[in-house]
Order: sequence, then C-alpha cells, then structure tokens
Amino acid sequence: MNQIVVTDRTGKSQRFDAPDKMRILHAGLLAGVGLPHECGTGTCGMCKAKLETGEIADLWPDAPGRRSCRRRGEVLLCQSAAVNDVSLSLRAAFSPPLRPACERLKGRLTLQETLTDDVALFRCILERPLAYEAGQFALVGLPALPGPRAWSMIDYTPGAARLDFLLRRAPGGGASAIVFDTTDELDVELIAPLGQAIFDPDEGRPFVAIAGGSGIAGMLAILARAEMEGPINVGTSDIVFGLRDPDSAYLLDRLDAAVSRMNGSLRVTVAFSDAPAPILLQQAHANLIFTQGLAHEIAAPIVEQAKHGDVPPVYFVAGPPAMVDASLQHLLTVLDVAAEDIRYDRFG
Amino acid sequence: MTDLVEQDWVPACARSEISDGDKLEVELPNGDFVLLLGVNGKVIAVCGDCPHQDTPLAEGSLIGSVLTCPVHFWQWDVESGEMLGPAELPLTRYAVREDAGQVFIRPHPVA
Repeated sequence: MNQIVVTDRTGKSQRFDAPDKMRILHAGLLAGVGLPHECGTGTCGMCKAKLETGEIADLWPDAPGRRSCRRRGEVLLCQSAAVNDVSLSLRAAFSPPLRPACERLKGRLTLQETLTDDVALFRCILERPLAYEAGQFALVGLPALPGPRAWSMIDYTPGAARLDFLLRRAPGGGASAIVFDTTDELDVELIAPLGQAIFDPDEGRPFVAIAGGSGIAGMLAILARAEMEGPINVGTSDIVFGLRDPDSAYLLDRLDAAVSRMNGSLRVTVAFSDAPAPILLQQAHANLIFTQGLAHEIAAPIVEQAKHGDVPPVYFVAGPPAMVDASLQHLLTVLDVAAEDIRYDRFG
Repeated sequence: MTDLVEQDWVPACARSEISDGDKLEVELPNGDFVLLLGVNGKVIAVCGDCPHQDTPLAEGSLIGSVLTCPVHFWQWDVESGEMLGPAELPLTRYAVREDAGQVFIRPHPVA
C-alpha cells in the first residue's frame, strides 16, 4: 500500500492510500477525494497532475490525454500507479466528491441481445446493488485487458444488482474482441458510478438530448428516469437520435414505445445521415419522426423552439467525439444556448 | 526589435501567423504557456490554460472575441476581459506589441 498526497492550487492537501498497481485516480475517487477527471480512461487529459516526489509507473505512455501534459513532470492520474509513497500537485482545484460515492465491485457480464452486426446489449450482474444517477457511467475492467473502459448505463435501476450496457464493436478494439467474441460469462471489475451529465427530475425542467450511435445509451437512462417521475408537466422533452443509415438502426422499438407511454411529453426524432428512412420503417414506428441529416443540424429548430419555452430545458449531448464536438459548438455558437444548461461527459 | 528584447519583451511568433479567429499557443522562456488570439485585427495574449481546471484553451473555440474552454464552457470576452457564461475566474492576460512583422509578449501577466 502506498500513501498518496495531492495538493491543489489553493494549497489544500488530501491523503489517501493506493494499493500497488491501482491507478491513482481510481484510488482517490474510491477514497472520496474530488480529483479532477472526466473519462477516467486516458482520453480526456483532465486528471493531469505534477509528480513532486516518489515514483509512479506510467501504464499508458501513449494515452491520448497526455497531450494536455505539456510541462515537465506532468502525468495522468488515471494512467499512473504508485510504486512507492507519492506526492503530487494539481494546477486545478479539487472537485466536489462524487455523489453518489463511487465503489469498486465485481460483476459477471453476459450478452443480452444482439441488435445489429456490431451493436449489442450486455447485462452485468453485480455482487451487490449500486446507487447511481441517470446519465452516469461505469469503468469496466475486462479480463487480461490493461485499463478499464467507460460504458454508460442504458437503464435506470438504482438499487438493483445489475447494470445494462449498450456496446458497439470497435474494429480492432481489444475490448470488443473480448466482449463480442466470447460466449461465456466474463468476470469484470467495476468502478462506478462516475459522470456529471445527470438528469435530476427535481429541477423540474424538460430535456433536449442529442445522441449519436451508442451515445443513446445514457439518453435512454435519462428517459427511464424521466418516465419514473419526470417532466410530464413542464413541457415537451426531445431526443434527436443520429444514425448512419436505416440498416444500422437499433432500439427504435424501445423509443417508439417510450413516446407512446409519455403521452405527448416526449418527441423522438431519428436522423439518418446517409440515407432516407424507408416507408416501411416509418410505418413500423409511427410515434417516431424520421428525417435525413446530421443530428446537430436536425436538432437546431428543436433547440430554437425549446429555448423559448416556458421552462428552459437541460441539454444533453452524447456520442462519438466528433459528433459531440460538432453538437457542442453548434449549441454554443450558433444556437446561443447558455453553457451552464449543457451537460455531457467527455469520453470515447 | 533589439530594443524591445532589452525591455523584457519576448518574441512570440511572426504576425503573419495569426489572422482573425486564429489561436496559437507559445511557451515562454519561463515555462508559461500563452495563447495568442487573432481578434478584430489585433493579437491578444492570454494564459494557455483555463483557470478552472487547467484545460489547454488552444483546444477551445474563438468566435469573434469570445473564447470558450472546451470542457466546462467557461467563456471570456478576451478584448474586454469580461467573464461570460459560467466563468468564475478571470483570464490572465499578457501585454502584446507588434514590431517589424513580429509579435512580442511581456512575460508577466497584466491582470
């Protein structure tokens, strides 16, 4: 066990223990320390810190997030394991501790339903129930794979000892090879929940969600939460679901049924970027609106209308990084949406 | 140019490298990262990292004179220094001079 001391830019220090080989970010978050982070997997660069004393093992020297480490001695806490006692400094301030607190727990992952050639639903049975908020994600460690993957929960079942995930097969991806090509149950280790893009029905606001591909997962969790006690009386919520073409479509039945259940307080627009929706597909999902175009462009008139509603909505964005960046830019600079009204988690 | 260097101005880049809407990060000899911004025909120099969580601002967006951090969308009008949107801290600014087609920065924050 190694003792870690982290000091932020205000001079505040926090101490916690990190077992050998455990990533310092994960050890800190599990100890309730508000270490800055977004993805927890080496992509975003938000957890950088300067190593002041001690030794660390760099577990992924080529992590994309290392682009933010431009000064001597800077490391990513999510890719650093302590070799001995370590002190680090942050140029940022500590964040508030995660709520709900994140936990480390074991689970067993199984294929639940194949949706397309490269998209499937997986269920993870947990060793104990987990509290989480709609829109949050889990870090999932797979057997024989270095480093966890960040997967959004697709449902909202807090208190149940299970999590459902929507996964896309990534060409050449190590995690995909393990998850999609294994028929047996997989023993996995989770650190969860993480994520700030949370839907809270107590805010009394509708939402506009722009989701690309498997980014729909977190939006469905938000929708499940909204269905439980959500914005039925505070205006109409919208989901814009961007997909490549009708052949790559999935979960339309689930969305169609949700629109029906929400009794006029939910609209779902399916935007195919590369092809129009066949008439038969439209007829089979009469509660959905089908159109052709990029999700953020299709969302523009919806956002314009929502902005001027009685209750300003919360905006969620999720999907592939390029789609998320395009959507955020459009919301902020073209549609003039207030930054504090936009929620997303940066991973992918 | 020699006079400027003797007066503690640091050469940063050629003026031709920055047009309106451009962002260019440079590292000063003291290790500070400074972001040069092309705004309304001028070059403005601000700190290279967001004062919130230290995100490189070169990855953000510059629309007109409004600089937006890419992570939590803190925004500033870099001409006036005004904080916009959810920003809670000001942006550190550096004095800039242009001479003989070069941009110079004084390596001490002015605000």
